[in-house]
Amino acid sequence: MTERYNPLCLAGKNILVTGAASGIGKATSLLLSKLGANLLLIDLNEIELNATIDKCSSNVIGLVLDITKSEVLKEKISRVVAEFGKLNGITHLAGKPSIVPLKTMSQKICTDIFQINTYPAIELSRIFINRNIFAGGSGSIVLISSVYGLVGSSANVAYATSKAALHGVTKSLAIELAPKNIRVNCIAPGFIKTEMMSENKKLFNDDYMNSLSSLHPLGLGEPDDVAYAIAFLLSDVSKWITGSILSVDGGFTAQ
Amino acid sequence: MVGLQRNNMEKYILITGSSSGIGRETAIMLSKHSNILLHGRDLRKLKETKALCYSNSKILIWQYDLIDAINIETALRDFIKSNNMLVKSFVHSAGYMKMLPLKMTNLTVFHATMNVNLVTPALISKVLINKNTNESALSSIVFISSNISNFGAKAFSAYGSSKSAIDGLMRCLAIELAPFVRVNSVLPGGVRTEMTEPIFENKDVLERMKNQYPLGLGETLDIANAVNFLISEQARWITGQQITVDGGRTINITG
Repeated sequence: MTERYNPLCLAGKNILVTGAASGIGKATSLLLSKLGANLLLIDLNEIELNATIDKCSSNVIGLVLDITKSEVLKEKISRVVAEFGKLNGITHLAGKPSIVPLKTMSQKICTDIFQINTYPAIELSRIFINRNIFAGGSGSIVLISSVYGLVGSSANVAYATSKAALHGVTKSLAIELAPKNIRVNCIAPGFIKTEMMSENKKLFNDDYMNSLSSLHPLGLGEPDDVAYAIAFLLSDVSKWITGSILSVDGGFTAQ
Repeated sequence: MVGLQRNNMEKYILITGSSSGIGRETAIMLSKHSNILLHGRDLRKLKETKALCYSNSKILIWQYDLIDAINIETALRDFIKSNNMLVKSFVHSAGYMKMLPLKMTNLTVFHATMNVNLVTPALISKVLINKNTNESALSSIVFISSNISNFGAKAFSAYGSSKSAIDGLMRCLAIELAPFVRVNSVLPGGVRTEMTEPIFENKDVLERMKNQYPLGLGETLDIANAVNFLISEQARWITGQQITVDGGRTINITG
């Protein structure tokens, strides 16, 4: 009976995490490690990536990599996986905000945002299903969008579409990959208190923070709040959940 | 403020419909870490559930027929007072399902369906947020809705509309009770239980269902795992959300 009810255990699973050096990516890496997962952590920032790795307790390997360089992505990940072991799951946390009003918007701005927020989700999924990468058995892909992929806001057309596109990725890949027993789900977070906010007091002053907080019936979130939902969707306790968009947003989108 | 005497009282998770199916599975799982107040109509089956629960937790039984929405408030208030207990979480798993075309559906069917699936969970929530009855002990509510909540199907007018309604209630309570009580729904696909047996015993229907579910058919454990996640502290920033647990059924338009 104890084996039947064993929530949130990731022991023995190999998970790839992008954007692992800071914010939600860092909190997620530390939590997944605590739950027993072996991690392949990817980020552009080598110093911060190493700081994350130092705090992990399980078997962790880091890869300093620009995930927008799709032509080298597969080769670099394949090489590390050959040494690290095949993967059971991936989560794409790397992302970039963008606040640009329509009148100054350009195709270049849109493409730049899609290149980090959206296209790597497709490319990483394509790499993941390769028989030299996917460990077989049950697999899980967890993407991170935003409440702005679900609701409207001003000066947000590039960011909102880059995140809403992930919901299309989630649902179509969920159907396409179900026969391989790979689940695909997406988390849409609200505003999370991150280092970026506390370091930039000029933009994130008290008034602005209060107005952000008031949008969320439960107040602003912590990186761990999203990390736990990622762990839930990566683990086998969610083995019958696929194609779902889960808002982790303190009630932001419920009102 | 919680008085000293009341503060010492044991806290329970109330699970309606725990004499069988999803409610029973959830009760057994949650009894690993928590005291459980089992609810149902059939005393013999409730005692069976109690015997299946972990013995380290306290298990109480409350027998009541949820078709009676008139007396529910008094009955629950009296039960809580006379057992000197508090309820910290509420899982509404009791469900009433009659598959009937509209021309066969009468007022009695609508009343029974709405009383069990919508009205009594609303009134139970009302009792549990009353300070005189339950202090401020309640922190989380999970309604077991259905993946039909956002869709349509033949012969499901009463059941389907009652499940859409409970999700409407869920979102309203999530906003009204924030930040003290989180309220979410789990939307299961077809899981074989006593309630759904009329669907599953038909071989043709069963075959068709197998093809419609991209991940194959699920089990009560899959639903209980989602409930367990939502009522836990790990989901402390999730409120007002529907989590669909249906193996991809409702995103599968080709099925």
